[in-house]
Amino acid sequence: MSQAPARHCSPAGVLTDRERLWAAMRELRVFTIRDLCRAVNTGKDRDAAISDSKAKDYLVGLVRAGIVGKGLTVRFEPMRFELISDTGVRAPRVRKDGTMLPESGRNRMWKAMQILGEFSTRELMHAASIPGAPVAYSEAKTYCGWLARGGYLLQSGERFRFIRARFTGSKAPQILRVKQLFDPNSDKVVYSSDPEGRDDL
Amino acid sequence: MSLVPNPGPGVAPLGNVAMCLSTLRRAITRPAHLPGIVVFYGPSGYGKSTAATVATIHCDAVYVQARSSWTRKAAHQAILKGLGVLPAKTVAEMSDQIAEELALSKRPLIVDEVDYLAERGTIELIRDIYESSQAPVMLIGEEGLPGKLKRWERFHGRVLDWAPAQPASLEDCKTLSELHSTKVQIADDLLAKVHDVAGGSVRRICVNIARIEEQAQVEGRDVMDLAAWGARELYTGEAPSRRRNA
Repeated sequence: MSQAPARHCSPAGVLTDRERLWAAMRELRVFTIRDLCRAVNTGKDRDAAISDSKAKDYLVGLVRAGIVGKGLTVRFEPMRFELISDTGVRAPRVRKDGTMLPESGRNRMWKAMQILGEFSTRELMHAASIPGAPVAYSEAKTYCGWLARGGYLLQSGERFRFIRARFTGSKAPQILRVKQLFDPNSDKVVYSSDPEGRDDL
Repeated sequence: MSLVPNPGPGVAPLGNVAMCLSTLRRAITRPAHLPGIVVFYGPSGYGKSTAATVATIHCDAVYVQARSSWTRKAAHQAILKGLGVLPAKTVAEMSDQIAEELALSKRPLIVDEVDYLAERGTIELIRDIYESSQAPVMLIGEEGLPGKLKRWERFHGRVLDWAPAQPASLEDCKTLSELHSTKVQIADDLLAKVHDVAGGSVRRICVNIARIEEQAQVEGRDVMDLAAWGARELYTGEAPSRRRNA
């Protein structure tokens, strides 16, 4: 029961690996892992290339969740997959066992704060919590602190106000960790690692 | 994405939050032959935006807030931004994009401050989006919204449910005091008075709870009751009356 291909919508913003894979699946509809990686890795530099095993990891989850169908096993032929349930531009958040993950806590906070407009950390925590995936007070506090530093929120005492002009899109800003090697003798950062902590599931 | 909202235990402690959530869920789970637009309306200060937040988060909805400056193009762009879709160039294309994305993802759409749209013809674009996607749509606005929508007859017939926001109850008042006042306990008799002067407004209740907490901390009390509060003023939202000289 494949649907008519979606041609109208492509996702906004920078894409994570999984989002790139998902966009390629929506484009191809029927594919092997090789096809998928080829589609995703065109024009990208070597470092950003998505490996077969990363694609496979995501596919396993999608197959178990019933979003992607698996073809018949044919000897000496690569496995063919088919997208059977297209759920739109957002890449489905699946675990490897096929269960769905709710939206990340930070995404929920990001959404909640633009609706609330003016809020305390505690109010935001309550508003962004859902059954089975509560947001911790400390997490809400940390995130609001960073967003205030980034100029998304105005802080006055314990309350925050969301600056609507800074609503840049549906994806929540992410706090990244970068490890750096610093040489105090020459006062120089000698090496910076790739940023960690992106919301990449 | 899970499309049916989490049926988990009532996380919505306030009356209007529960009402808003159940109204949206009714639109999501409606039988196919029924219309899918619901309207949630009420005076400002009744906690509509808190209710809208919970409904948005629990049902994974797309939320947009209408502005007085909204043209058809701006409205479409704002909805696409909420959906995370790269907008096309023309309004017609954007309308298709929204319909397609809502239909595929089966997400509900919540439009706040609809009064701005109902005063002008822009409201029809919401109907277009609804017609072409059949996605559940919730409109949120001020008290007079149903009257304003009546002018748009083709719109009116597609409304499944009208949900008026309710004034805050004493029960809500208690929940709010537990939620906001973490350091000081406010006794029931004082809460009853807070509820009385608030006239149903969640906002006024919150202001008063904050005021009581502040005063209690100044005086070093853990509990504040009516006797301890005495004749001090509570915030009623009315402009102060003329001062009488003794």
